[in-house]
Amino acid sequence: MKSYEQSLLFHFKHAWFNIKEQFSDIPTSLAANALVPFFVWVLSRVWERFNSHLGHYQLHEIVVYIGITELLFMTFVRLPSLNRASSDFSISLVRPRSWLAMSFSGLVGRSTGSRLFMFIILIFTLPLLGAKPELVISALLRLIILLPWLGLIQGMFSLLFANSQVLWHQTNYFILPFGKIFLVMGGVWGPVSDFSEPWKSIILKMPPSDIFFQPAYFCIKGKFYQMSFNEWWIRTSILIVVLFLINQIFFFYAKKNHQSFGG
Amino acid sequence: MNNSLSAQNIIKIFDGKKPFTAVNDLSFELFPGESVAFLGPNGAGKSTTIKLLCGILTPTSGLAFVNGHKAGSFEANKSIGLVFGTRSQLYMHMTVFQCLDLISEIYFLSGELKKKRMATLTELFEIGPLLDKRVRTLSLGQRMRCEIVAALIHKPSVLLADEPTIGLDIIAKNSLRELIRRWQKEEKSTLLLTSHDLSDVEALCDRSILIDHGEKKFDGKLELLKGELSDLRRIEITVSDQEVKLYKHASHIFSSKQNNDYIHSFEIRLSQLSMSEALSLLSGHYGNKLQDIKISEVSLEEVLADRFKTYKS
Repeated sequence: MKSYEQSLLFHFKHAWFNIKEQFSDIPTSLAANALVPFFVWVLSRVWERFNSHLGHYQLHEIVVYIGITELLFMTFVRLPSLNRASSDFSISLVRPRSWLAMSFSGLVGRSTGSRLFMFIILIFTLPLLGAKPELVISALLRLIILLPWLGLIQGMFSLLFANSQVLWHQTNYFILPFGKIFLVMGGVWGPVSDFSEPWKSIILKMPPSDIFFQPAYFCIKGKFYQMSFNEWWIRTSILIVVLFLINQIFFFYAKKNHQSFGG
Repeated sequence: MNNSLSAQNIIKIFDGKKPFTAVNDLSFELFPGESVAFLGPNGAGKSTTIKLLCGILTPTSGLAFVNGHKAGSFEANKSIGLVFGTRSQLYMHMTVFQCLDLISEIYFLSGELKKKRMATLTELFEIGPLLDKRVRTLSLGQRMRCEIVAALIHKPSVLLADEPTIGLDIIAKNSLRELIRRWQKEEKSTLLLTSHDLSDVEALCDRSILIDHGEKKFDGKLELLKGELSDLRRIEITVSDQEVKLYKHASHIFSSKQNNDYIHSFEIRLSQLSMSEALSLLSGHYGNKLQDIKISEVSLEEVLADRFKTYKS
């Protein structure tokens, strides 16, 4: 087997290992996700109170939409995963594998594992919260198709933060605000809310919309919002390439900086 | 003989407002099958040197090699195993087997070779009953055995062990030392040990390298470390009668001290007075009042404390 094929196979195995890890401590995972259905219920009731008059969506669609965006958002750039990746930096220099590649496959695996866990919770809880079962099934099946691609994007963002943590230890303080910006601009409220122009158009063109709003909308409606599948796929591909390049640059400086503080 | 680990005039300076030289022109070699203790007080540069040897840090100048390959290179990394007493390489929520399986793959071990290697180490380190257990459920002693297996899974020619017995009770320590000795005998690999527990050093190593302020102060056999103190013997006598007078020899070769009413201590140099002569003099003085006798050498802790004090002054 060629070395890059062997390497690819290893990273798939590594990602799979990390997926399994999310299912290895069921009580802890359940406890961590126990409040998700509650959040879905609360947020959908808040939407009903303030935005249902817009008439674009029905409540049961919003329940599924919020469930899916919560699944995507609550597994996006999580501090424990970043800490593990950045703390492995030193030891990775003694191993015959790239830290960038191993951290990436690990981060993709962990987030995908968490997402699959929440996916199972949503299958059972969304119908109880008022969503029609047929919509739940079709939406979640569409989500399964998108999860691998979204996992790659999530992995790239997380890797960027893990890289940054090695460069600047203060990165921890930026993770929460960063996540909140994504939440506002592309998460639960984002483009389905009553933003006026030109802000609505601007938000629709930003990465948070591509990785939260558009996939969730696709899951409910079977198509992307004001965009073809190819266009969404090209936009997200460009995002992956840009993040890949930024990660390479950050890694170069992270290695250099690592030499200065003693490893 | 080809060396397994070598440092050639390595210097490491950390940049900053005040540049700091952590390692200053350090050179040494380790050969296959050797067990070497790397000793020094806190802040001496031990950890920095270890990191330079395994490629975590690159030297400001000088070179470090593992099995002839430059430290940090792909081939060098395949030749090194690392075990840290204070940092785990295992995954807490996975089983020991799953962790070892993944770590094997990291080192390009797969198929029959992986199975055979795991079977060998499982038997050597007696972790068979632990393979299906989750790492978080293991005791510290069990976990350290698994950590060492993880470090050795790819059959490295060099094992760098940093405080491998930290936190272990005496039984677990002795057990782990015995297993490491057994492994070394089987695989003839090189061990570089850093430990503040000098009983680890005495149990596992026959050579030591002393470092202080980034410089090598001593490199040689462990017994030579004691230097002048190697022939010093302490004799402690317990007497049955507190009225018995402390034995005082006319010459300086026999120093005496009364610890309390019943315990009298003496120091002799074997190069100046043989043990049989010393005991003969003491039994002649104390007679049947001599209740118990204890003889000891100077400990490694004392030797190192004495040396580090000398380096500071």
